[in-house]
Parts: sequence; structure tokens; C-alpha cells
Amino acid sequence: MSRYSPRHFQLPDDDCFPGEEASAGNPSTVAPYIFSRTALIAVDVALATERPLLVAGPPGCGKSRLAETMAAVLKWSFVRQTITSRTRCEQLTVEVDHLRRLNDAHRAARADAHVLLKRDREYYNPGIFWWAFDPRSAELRGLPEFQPPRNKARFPGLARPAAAGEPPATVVLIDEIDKAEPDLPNDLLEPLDRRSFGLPDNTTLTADPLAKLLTIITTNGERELPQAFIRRCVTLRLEEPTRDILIAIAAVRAREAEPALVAAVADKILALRDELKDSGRRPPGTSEFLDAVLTCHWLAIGVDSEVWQEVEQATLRKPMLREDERSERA
Amino acid sequence: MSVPSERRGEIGLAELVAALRRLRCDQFGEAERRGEIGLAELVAALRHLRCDQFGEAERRAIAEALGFGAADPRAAQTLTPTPTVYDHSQTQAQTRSTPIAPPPAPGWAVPRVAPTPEALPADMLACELVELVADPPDAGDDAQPPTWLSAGYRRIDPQTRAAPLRHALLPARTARGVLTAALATQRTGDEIDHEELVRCLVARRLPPRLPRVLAPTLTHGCQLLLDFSDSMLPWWEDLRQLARQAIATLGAAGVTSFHFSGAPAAARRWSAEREDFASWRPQAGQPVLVATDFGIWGEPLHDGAGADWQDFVRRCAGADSPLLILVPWPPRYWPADLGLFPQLVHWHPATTAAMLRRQRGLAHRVAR
Repeated sequence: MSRYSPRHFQLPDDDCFPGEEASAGNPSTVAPYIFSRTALIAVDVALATERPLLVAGPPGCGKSRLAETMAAVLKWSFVRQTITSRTRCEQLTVEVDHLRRLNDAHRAARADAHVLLKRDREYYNPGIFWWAFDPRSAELRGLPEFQPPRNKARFPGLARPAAAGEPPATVVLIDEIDKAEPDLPNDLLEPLDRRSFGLPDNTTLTADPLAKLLTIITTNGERELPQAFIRRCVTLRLEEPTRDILIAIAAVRAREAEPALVAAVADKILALRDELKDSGRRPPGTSEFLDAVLTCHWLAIGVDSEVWQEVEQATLRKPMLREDERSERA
Repeated sequence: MSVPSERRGEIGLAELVAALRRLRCDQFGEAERRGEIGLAELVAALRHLRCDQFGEAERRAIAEALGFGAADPRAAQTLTPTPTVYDHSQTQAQTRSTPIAPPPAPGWAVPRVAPTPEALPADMLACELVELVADPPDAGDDAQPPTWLSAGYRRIDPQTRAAPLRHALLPARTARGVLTAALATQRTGDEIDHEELVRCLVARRLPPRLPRVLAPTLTHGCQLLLDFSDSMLPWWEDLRQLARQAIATLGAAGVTSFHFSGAPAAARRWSAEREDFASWRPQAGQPVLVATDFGIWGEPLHDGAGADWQDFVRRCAGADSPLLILVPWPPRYWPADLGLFPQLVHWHPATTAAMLRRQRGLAHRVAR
């Protein structure tokens, strides 16, 4: 099968993003990432259609890191929000900081009358969609340039400012959407579809028409997502990597490890996958494989040593409380 | 962004940009909504990505990423089945052999039209009864097989007949909404309850804690009690499907399935790790969803559900576990002696989330 050359970004011939070191303007490090052919095509399609990319797959297979890597590849800003069962749509768009306002009101009532800010928007906290749609407006909390807020909002992610004259460009990661309450995916349809959302003062914030946006949403598949939501997304399923891909990943992520050790741990992983799947338990993912390889390397042990059983338990099998034990404790 | 400011100076470039953006919005009334991915989007993507330079595999991959011709992404995910549901070895899945009768039309009863007889296979095989003669007991190893074993016969392939369509009691299009409405509990959310706060301030009272608006949540999961009694035999496949739907909605970790036949409090589940059955007991605050017909065999209840069910309701109420009972029969078949604590719901394709919420609201009003 021939190599797929994406139209919207460039990668080396081996489809491996070599990583990005921290620098003065960029405090975070992005690890190397090997793109699968399916992932390359799906990301390219999402960029072409300007649709969100819904990435499914087992835990630890690189779903979240795909977004982080794409931001580095495209040299776009990166914001993320990890979803929990308490996450609301307002946290992703705009929230009003009522507590700060109440505190200011109390202080103003005592003595510091100047503390209370009279404009409602001073108390707006922009969410990741606002930052992606219009970062300048988010920084000013929706206030005009000539009357900026007393406290400007801070960019919540990794900013890679666009060149002069270039429109803002952002990769948005909405991580683990399956952890959300069932209403949240439906609430996201408006910002995803229309690229706009309502502000608390009943005005509408619309994205800068020139702003570039790649939204990546990940799910572990623990819960079903609404069909209306899935049908609006480009979908990508990352499969568990094969033995060869595991070895290739270790070659770029755990360069210090011996190839023989990497191959032996990869074989153990494959055997464990079959064993754990039969018993209905979650098999180890790529990140756990790397943990095991690095542990063996730094502790100077092999898969045939006596300590391996303990390492395997701690990094791969991870036995937790049994179900009946949990029940009895409850 | 279309944001009016409080004090506006002279018109500048920023205003011009804002006006142009606003005009764009005004042109469409509101920002254009894109809707679901359609064929036009596939064509646009193929053109944009210059598909003429691709092979068939790339085109297929692009179509699959957009949801065309691809398997449902949920189908690939492995939902951990609940052993008590899937390993229920008493019998195989039962499928309904006749469609559900339509509801009677209002007005005069229309004479029932006799169903069209099912067409028999055209190639009926001729058969002839032949008396079999048993081989002598001391035939030994060199005995010849009976002649009928090698006689010419032809087997009718059972696969040529399509399986009858089964109408699920909880169709896929409503299952998520119904189960969400049924199993949601209330918890203190993050949003501040402004009304309560204002009420406190007006009354010059300092609230002991910041009031928050209650929000529905599914974090408590649920206990699923499935009635695999003989009386429920026509709905055994629906019970299995209900378990799958509950797991899809709440997640595998949120659903604990039990099965029972008779007294619901004697429900139990197979524990693979303990290699034994684990008995049901209510978990404080965790909703309990029961699917049962109360063992009525299609006959209306005259004496109530009985002491077993009353005891079961008492245990759930004692643990403050919301109890919801799905019944495949209409309300006139339901027992009247269970009180207001359990919410009984008609397990029917027409049941919707709105009906559940309305029913729950009425029950709360009656209880007050």
C-alpha cells in the first residue's frame, strides 16, 4: 500500500513526527508520535471538511497525544479540556465568575467602592471554544480594545502565536467525552456546528471567519454517544498497535532500551492481551508497554528475571480490588 | 465579534471589521448550522484532497472517516457483558414468532381478517414411511450400515428463510433518552442558585453554604434486576437487550446486573472471580431498575403483588435507592399495593423520556 501524503500538513517519509523540544517561547515538550495511515487520512479529512474529529480507541493508545502532536505539527495553539461527569457546556464556552463579583460587592459595601467592576463582562471567564474562535476577544473578556478589562484573561493552553497578518489557528482537545453526563454532547452541537455560542448577556459570540480550528474529541467508548453527535464528526478508531508498531514506538520513545528487551516485552504484551481479553479485563495499552520497557531498562532486568513478575503486576496487569471485595467493603 | 461597547469613540478599523462580521451574521439571521455530514461533504472532501491522485483504498478510507460505508464505531467497541445476563444457560434466546397485534381501531369493531397462510416450499419432498428393522445385536465390526442411511435425500437449507423481525420493547432511537430519564438522580451541581442566594440576602440572612442548583447525574449508575421467570419468557431477549442498553448508557462500570425468578429480593448474579453467586442488596442512593411482569402470565392481578414485592420495595426505600419497575403489560395489569415509592413504567416502544419525567413529577406531587 502506497504512503498517504496529507494535503494539510507535512511529515517525514516514515510518518513519524520527531518531537518538539522545549524552548524559550514554548515551555512544553512534545514527544515523538508515529502516525498510522488511518490517522493521517482522518486528520486530513477533518481539516478539509472543518469537522471535529472523534477519536475512539482503548485507553493508552495515543488518542489525546494525537491532538497535542497535531498542534505541534501544524504549529497551532493548543487548548484542552478534560471532561468529567461535572463538566458543563458553559465551562467550554463562557462562565461568569459570580464568586469574584460577590466578593467585590462585599468589599465595595465596606470601603473599597472602586473594587467593584461595573461592567458585567469583567467577570466573564472565557472557555476553550472562545479562545479558539476569537483569542483576542477572549483575552479582553469580550470588551472593546479601547476599554480593556482591568484583568485580562490568560490563555489556558500552549500558545503558538500566529505570524503577523495570519489568522489565529488552534487545536482544541476535548478529552474523554464519554465521561460526561449524556446531555453534554448535545450541548456541544451548537459551538461545533455554528462556531458560535451565546453569552450571558444574550449576545452571540461568533468565530472569526478566518480562524483555523481543528477540534479533536476523544472517547474510550465507556458510554455510547448520541447518533446526532457522531454523524457530525469525522471518526477515527485507533486500534491496538501490532508487535512491529510497538517496537517502532519504543524505538522513538524509549531509545535507550535494548532492542532485544523491547521485543521481549512486546511479546509479553501480546500474550497478556489474549489472556486478559479472555477474562474480560482491560489489556495493557501502549503507554503501559513503554512503562514496562523503561522500568526494565532502568532496573536492568529482563522478562526472564525473578523480578519481572512484580514488574508485570505493577505496570501491565495492575490487579485492583476484586468485585466481591468492593461489594463487601460497601 | 458582535459586541456593543458602552462608550464608542470614532469609527475605526476595529468597528469596520465588527460591522462586516455582524453583516455576515445578519445575512443568514444567525450563524449557518451545518447539520449532519452528507454526501456533498464527501464530494467536497474528495475534491479538496485531490482524490484523482489517490487509489481506491484512500478514497474508501476518506469515506469511512466521514461515516460512509464504515462500521458503526460503537460496534467495534467491546462492551463487557454481564455474565448473569449473557451466560443465562436455562434456554436459548426466544424470538417472537408473530408480530405485535396493532391496537384496536376506535369505533365499531372491524371483523378480523384471517392472516394470509404462509407459503409452503414449492419443492415438497415425497416421503414414505418405512419400517426399520434393527440389526442383530451380534453383528460385529464388519456389519454394514443400514440401507436408509445411504438412501438419497435432500436437506432443505434453513438459511433461506429470513428470521422474523423482532420489535424491541425499548427501540434504539429512544433507549438512551428513556434510560437517562429513568436513572438520573439529583446532585449538587457547580452552578450557583441565584434565586436562593438573592432570597437569603434580601432576608439579611447569611447562607451556611453557597447554594447550588441541583443537577441530574448518572454517576450513581444502577442495579439492574432482570426477571428471567417463565412468565417473562416472551421478553427474555428484551431483557438481554435492556442490559446492553443500560451498559451503553451508563458504562460497564456503572451497571450491576442481577437476575431473579420469583422474589426480587432473592436476585443474584454470577461472580466470575468468586466463582459463586452474589446476592443482591441495595446500595445506598443507587437507583434500582427492575424489569418484570410480576409473574402474572398475562392475567390481571387481583390480590396485589404480594409480600415478596412489598418487602423488596421496603428494602429499596430503606436504602434510599430510587426504584423504577419496567412492566411489559399496560397499567391495568399492575399491582396497586406497592405504594408511591416505586415508579412503574409501561415497557413499550411508545414509552418516551418525557412520559417518565411527567410521571415522576405527578408522583412527587401526589406524595407531597
